[in-house]
Amino acid sequence: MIELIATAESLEQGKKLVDIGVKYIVIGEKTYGLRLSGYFTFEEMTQMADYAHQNDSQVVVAANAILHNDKINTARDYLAQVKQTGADLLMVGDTGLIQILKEEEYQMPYFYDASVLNTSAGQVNFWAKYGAVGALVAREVPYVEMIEMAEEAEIPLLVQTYGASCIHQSGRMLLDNYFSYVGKDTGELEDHDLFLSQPGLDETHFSIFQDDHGTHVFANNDLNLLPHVDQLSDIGISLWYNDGIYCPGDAFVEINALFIEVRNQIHAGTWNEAEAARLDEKLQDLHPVNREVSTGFFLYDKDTVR
Amino acid sequence: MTKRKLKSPELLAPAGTLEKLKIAVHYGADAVYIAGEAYGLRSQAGNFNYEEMAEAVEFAHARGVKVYVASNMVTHHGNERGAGDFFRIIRDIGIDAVIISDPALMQICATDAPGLEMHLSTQQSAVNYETLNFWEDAGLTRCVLGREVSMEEIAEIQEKTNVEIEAFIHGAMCISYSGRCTLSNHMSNRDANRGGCSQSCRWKYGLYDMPALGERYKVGAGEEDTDITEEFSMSATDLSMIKHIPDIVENGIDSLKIEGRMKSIHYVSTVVNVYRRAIDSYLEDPENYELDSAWIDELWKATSRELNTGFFYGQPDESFQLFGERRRKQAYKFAGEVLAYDQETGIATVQQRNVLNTGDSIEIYGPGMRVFTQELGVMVNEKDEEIERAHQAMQIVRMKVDQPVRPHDILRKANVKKVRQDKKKELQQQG
Repeated sequence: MIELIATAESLEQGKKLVDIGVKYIVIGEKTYGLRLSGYFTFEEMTQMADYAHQNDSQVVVAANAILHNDKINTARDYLAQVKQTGADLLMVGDTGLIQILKEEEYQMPYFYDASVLNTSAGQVNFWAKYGAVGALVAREVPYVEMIEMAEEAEIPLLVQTYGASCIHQSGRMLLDNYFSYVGKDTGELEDHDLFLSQPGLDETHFSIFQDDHGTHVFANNDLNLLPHVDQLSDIGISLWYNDGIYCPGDAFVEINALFIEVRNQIHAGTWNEAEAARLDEKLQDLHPVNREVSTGFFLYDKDTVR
Repeated sequence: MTKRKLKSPELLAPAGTLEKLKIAVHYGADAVYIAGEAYGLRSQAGNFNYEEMAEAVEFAHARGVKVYVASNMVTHHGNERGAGDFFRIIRDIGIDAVIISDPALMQICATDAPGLEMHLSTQQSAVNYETLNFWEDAGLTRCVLGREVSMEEIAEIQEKTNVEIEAFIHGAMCISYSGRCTLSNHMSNRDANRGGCSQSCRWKYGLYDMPALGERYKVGAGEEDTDITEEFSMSATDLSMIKHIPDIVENGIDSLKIEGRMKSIHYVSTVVNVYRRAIDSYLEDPENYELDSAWIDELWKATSRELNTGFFYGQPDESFQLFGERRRKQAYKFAGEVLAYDQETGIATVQQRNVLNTGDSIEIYGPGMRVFTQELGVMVNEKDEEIERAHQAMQIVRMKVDQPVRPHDILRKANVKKVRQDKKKELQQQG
């Protein structure tokens, strides 16, 4: 059974995602969650979990940040609070947190999410030994490699099918530093929705933002694998991950509804190229006006990137 | 008064080739790191085949120096093929440890080459104590810390872990959390985590707002109603902890790492020489230790970027980034290496590495910070002919030197243009 896993920016959006049939709702707060589309209080997390459980969905709390000592020092309290919310799973990317999750009191199933670092079945199976129940595949893995990866992975693979994908995280405050150097007020940063263009390629647009976790740069285009998701189900990858960090509000809910429709058509055996084109067009209409989509590395050959 | 007994940290140097390895050992490294022909992260560096590794191990072990192999590639499916044989062979060659970041490779190493120690690579961005505890439980014997860890955090990590700790103290730094960057993959089709990094983080970028596709408003350089010309860049100064050796030693870090497997023997010899002297001086007499400004001057002679303390003392601000005109450039060139010295005649045999001219002012330095300057006289080539210019690559010449030298001592000469520029600037600043 193909299931969707999608980020929620708010309780309201999370409920809508549950209503349309998204199985896993990814939520979180500022300190432990990384690059989230919105932040939840623990009270809201509890409400989200209650609502999800009433509707046969589950809540995944994103605890996927890179953690320094200060955050590790408070991680046990944080995990205790997360457990109290009734959340079902975590998304984890820091090995220190996995060490704490070994302790009986804090044990929780988790999806492994270390951004660009999850690139082989061997790695996935390693984390499975330490409690991972699924692993988000790096966006830099092409489909030809996913085929082999899926065959050998001992736990389910999650593949991002829609949304922006981070390609660089720095611990430095790169935008603050630049603004300070050129004499601009760093307070202005909040007013901007910034992009970088690659030297010599002025038309490129890599999103960049800064928060307490550092500076984050995203791929030139957001991912859209909608026309190709049947290929994922062909190889048994049945967890489709959609990220709404740059697609706010109802548009993201509607995009997920399109993926639900695709899923249902695949299950019903009615999925075909015409449907793919029709739903893809709808998705592109819903996609933010200042962003483009592409298939990223999905259709690359094994040696396109060396 | 009883002298405090301080732990002597390992000084770990890069060795891109066998020649650099020997130089690093000669100049005082306690350990060196190299890479094999596969599984490393620097495809452009001179990587070692098994025969060279065996020679490296024999040379290093005979001098009490350890050899580690960087196998810190993040593999994709299929890249791990042959890794079992690789780890077994290098273990049998006598390699002391592998530096590794990919859990898939760790499992292969543990299974196929038991006994070969594993050190966690900085590519895993280990920045908290529980991460180190995890990897110790998983069987690793040392962790290289992420470069984002502060001195204070290291102290806490020391308190709460048992595994050995290694930290970078000198050299270039990834701008990202190491490993968490695929700019190169996306911009150059070269995999940053599989040895192909094109260093996209060093480029200059356009920065702009884009409310809709095709509608762009520059921010910073080129911004309307401003005269800002400096483009956005992520590029940062290099790390140097030479001014903070007491903090480093007192913090009990087990291994102090110098970055730069692709750097020249001039760089390796200079940097190892300086840190060796600074660490030994502190260990010998911590109470009366003083930073010698000559050490800093010496480092600058082999350094191309500005130096700073990275994250050791807090979040790096704009002064830690390379904006504006390059504020310092390498003012010295690697000019040659001493192969032999005849004490009776005072004649040194030198392999040149840059054009040497009679009349050049050259510096000759060796381990223990021996250094002197002299004017280069007439040279004699391999045909016993007197020459005033040695310009053939790796040419062997003999020359009279003012003070005794030893094999592996290094010759360098001032980058005259740069020295003149610096002098001019200095005079301008003085008004």
